[in-house]
Amino acid sequence: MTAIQTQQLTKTFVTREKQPGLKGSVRTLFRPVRRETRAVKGITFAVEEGERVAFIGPNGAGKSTTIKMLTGILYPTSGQAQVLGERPWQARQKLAYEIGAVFGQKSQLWYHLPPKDSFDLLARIYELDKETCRQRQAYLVEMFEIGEYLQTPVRKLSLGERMRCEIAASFLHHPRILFLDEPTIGLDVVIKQRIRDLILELNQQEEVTIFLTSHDAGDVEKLCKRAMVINHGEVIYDGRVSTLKRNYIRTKTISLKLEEPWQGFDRGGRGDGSGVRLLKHKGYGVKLEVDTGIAPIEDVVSQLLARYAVADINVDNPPMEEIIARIYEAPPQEEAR
Amino acid sequence: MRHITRYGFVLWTAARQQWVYRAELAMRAIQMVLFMGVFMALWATAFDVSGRVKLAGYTMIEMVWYLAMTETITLSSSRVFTEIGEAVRAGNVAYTLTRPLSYPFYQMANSLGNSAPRFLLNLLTAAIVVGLGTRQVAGSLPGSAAFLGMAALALLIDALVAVLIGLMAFWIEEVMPIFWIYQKLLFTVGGLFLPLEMFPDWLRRVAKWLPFQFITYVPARAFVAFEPKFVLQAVGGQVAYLVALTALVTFVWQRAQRRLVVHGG
Repeated sequence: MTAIQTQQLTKTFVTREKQPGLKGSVRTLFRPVRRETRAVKGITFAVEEGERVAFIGPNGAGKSTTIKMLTGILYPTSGQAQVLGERPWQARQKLAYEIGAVFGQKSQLWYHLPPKDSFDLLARIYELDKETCRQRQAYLVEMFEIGEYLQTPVRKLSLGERMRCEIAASFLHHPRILFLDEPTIGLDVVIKQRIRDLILELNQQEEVTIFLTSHDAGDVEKLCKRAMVINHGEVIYDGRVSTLKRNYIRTKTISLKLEEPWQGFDRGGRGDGSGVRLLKHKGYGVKLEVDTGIAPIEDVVSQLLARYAVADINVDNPPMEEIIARIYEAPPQEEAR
Repeated sequence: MRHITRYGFVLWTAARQQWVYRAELAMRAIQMVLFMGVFMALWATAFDVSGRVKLAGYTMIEMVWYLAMTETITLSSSRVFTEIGEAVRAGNVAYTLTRPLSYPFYQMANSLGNSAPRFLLNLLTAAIVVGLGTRQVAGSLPGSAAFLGMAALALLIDALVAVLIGLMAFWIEEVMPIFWIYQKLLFTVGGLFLPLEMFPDWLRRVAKWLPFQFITYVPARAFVAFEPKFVLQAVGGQVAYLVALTALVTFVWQRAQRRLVVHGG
């Protein structure tokens, strides 16, 4: 069954521009200058139930606006969308029972109360019966390992602790579709990984459809099978994450803190042939780019550790912006799925 | 019925969150003590100077108790518009909108949850201060019952107005000035400081039709001078304004929803 479907979905925001200075203010009052921003330009796509889709693009590409239209929060300017067979902005309250949302930069928990109170309130709002609610809470608490701070006021939790509670709260009412808008923003690597595992587990156990936006290439890689790249309000790529990865996420960066001065690193092969490129080095700090197609990351790391006394090492994916910039340089061929 | 329990639980949760603000609640109680102290002194002087036992039909004791009741209500009035404004500015409104609830009625419940504990505390403080200060009670038992019922309706009307002011945040950046106007109208034509009987004839006739006196004057007046006819008429007026304001809030919300812009990513 199709979970989400859009046809030519468009959202235009009208903003009034104020001209600078007092004169400008007066002029704006009588003759407002309206500027139209087309945040989403006629996008069309379909997502099947149980799919895990990443919706990616740079800041201001129209990702969040699309999610907000699909959850019924925003009215579109034109075009159509159906979520589980309903028009979201017309059947917002009805649809709310079936969908869940996580907005990484916002909070749904009551700030001064412990998460448990928010969970209980949500259970009432979604009309879960007592027994279902008790079981569900117990299950999520165990999975997300949040039992410890269930009774601690939210304002006293760390971001990682809070985010686990936030996501657990969004799963409370058994949503069939979960919209995740930057769920791992600002979290450290370990917590990010934990949250991805949990979302994946719930997707597999309950066949929850996952619709994710993220700036983190790791989120996309680990969570999703399919990716849609959106830029300037248009879908420019719709295909498998593995293809995207093969073609565009070929590099990783290694950041090192050494205990001795940097003296170069030679894996054999010349120039780019070794697959390792020095991005910058300053004192004992070094940043390398590794082409994982040529040099497996495990090999490079072990060779580095053998060659140098290392105080700290970090392996990162290239930022989403960079991947998208690359897609822009060489647009991919859409493949048949 | 199930809707009422859902919104009721929102109210309950909001009321529990008030416990966190207990320091602020204590400050409010002190404020009430100061207010009532000053007003008792002022009215004592005013009655002395006039040399009369009654002013506009109120004895000094009645006047002070009238004020205790209007202050109790106004100091408990809803500030939910700041919360709505903040949610619109920061974009947290997005979460509330993914719930199977009506946004304005959710905020109504939230607002009442905030004002109910404050109301009880204000009532207790005002009653103790005025009771100790005057050593007399002006109200009767039916008057007290009528006051409680009418004050509940008054707080509902006030919450609707606060939600309405809050919804203005979808159009304008700062809603506080609208609240100030509303508050000043409560102070004057709402009869916070002076009962409507003290107004010039023409002003009283105008004020009688406005919603503001249904929030402050009407419950306080029922407390100090209980008359079944007055109570019935006043409750009728309160209910009429409740219905009208509910319709207005629903209408404004429909408009607001269409022009919602969610800030912050």
